[in-house]
Amino acid sequence: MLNRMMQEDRGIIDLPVLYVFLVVLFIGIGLIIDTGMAMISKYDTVVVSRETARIAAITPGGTTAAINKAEELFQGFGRPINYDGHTLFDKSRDVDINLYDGEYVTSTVTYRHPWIITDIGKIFGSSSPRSPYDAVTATTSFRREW
Amino acid sequence: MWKRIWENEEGSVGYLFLMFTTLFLMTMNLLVFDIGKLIIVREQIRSAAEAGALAGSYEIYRIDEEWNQYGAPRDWGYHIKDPDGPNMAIETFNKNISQMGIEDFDTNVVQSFATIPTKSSVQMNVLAAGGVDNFNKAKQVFYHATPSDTVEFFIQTRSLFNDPPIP
Repeated sequence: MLNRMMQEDRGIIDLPVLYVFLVVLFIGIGLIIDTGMAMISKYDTVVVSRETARIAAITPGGTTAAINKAEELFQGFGRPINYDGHTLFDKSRDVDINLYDGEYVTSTVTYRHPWIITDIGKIFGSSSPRSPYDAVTATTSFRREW
Repeated sequence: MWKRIWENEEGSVGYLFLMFTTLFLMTMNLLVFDIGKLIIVREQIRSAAEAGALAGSYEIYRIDEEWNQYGAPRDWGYHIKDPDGPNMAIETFNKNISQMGIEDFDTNVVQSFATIPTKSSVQMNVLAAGGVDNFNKAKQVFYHATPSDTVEFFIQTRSLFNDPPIP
């Protein structure tokens, strides 16, 4: 059969199409998974922002408790804190609680989402190094109740 | 080999199949993005609604405490007529919505708003018709759905204090 395939033109188109198809398929599935994971990161960040703002808004001097809660929640959600040598979430750096935003307490939480596919540009000839993560942020305000 | 590919029409169906697969994967990716965005927007609106409900709840409790200091009976029924709690809730809700950057969100959709006379609580019923455009477009393509959709919340937040004594 292989001998016949090498000698005949029939179906020769199928082999390169198959190679391209496989590349497109893997990149496509990777992008779908990556997009979904990024959405989950954003969703979790929104939840963490809400809970930290709530704690800081109803507890006098609750900033430390809120910041600790943020880290606890991210760990509870199963989000990686460190990835490939990068710190994705650092509670002292990525949780910003403004206790005096007018009448409100505003919490801004940042999480660095690690991309699974970071070197996709290299396939198409890009030479610039792609950041292995992108920051997602969420902000929530609760009225200060103390 | 490439010359033979271009001259040979027998494999052209392979290109069509490749294009179809690429378009299918891109559409799936966009669908994941749109559905994810819908879920995130829904969660953001929930944050806003919870913040509003909590602010309104505390306001009602605070007003009751003040009234009680002057010897007024603890009758939570008063607060149905008191607009301060609901107003505070709507104000907090709108602040969150504006700073979250939710586009095309009609803040007039805070549809019903009621206080429960027996407890310090606020219910927010939020209908968001404009914040899910991408998902609607996707639905129009696949399901021929109408371009209106609703995200409804019914959040009741009681005061974090102990339940007040009911006379």
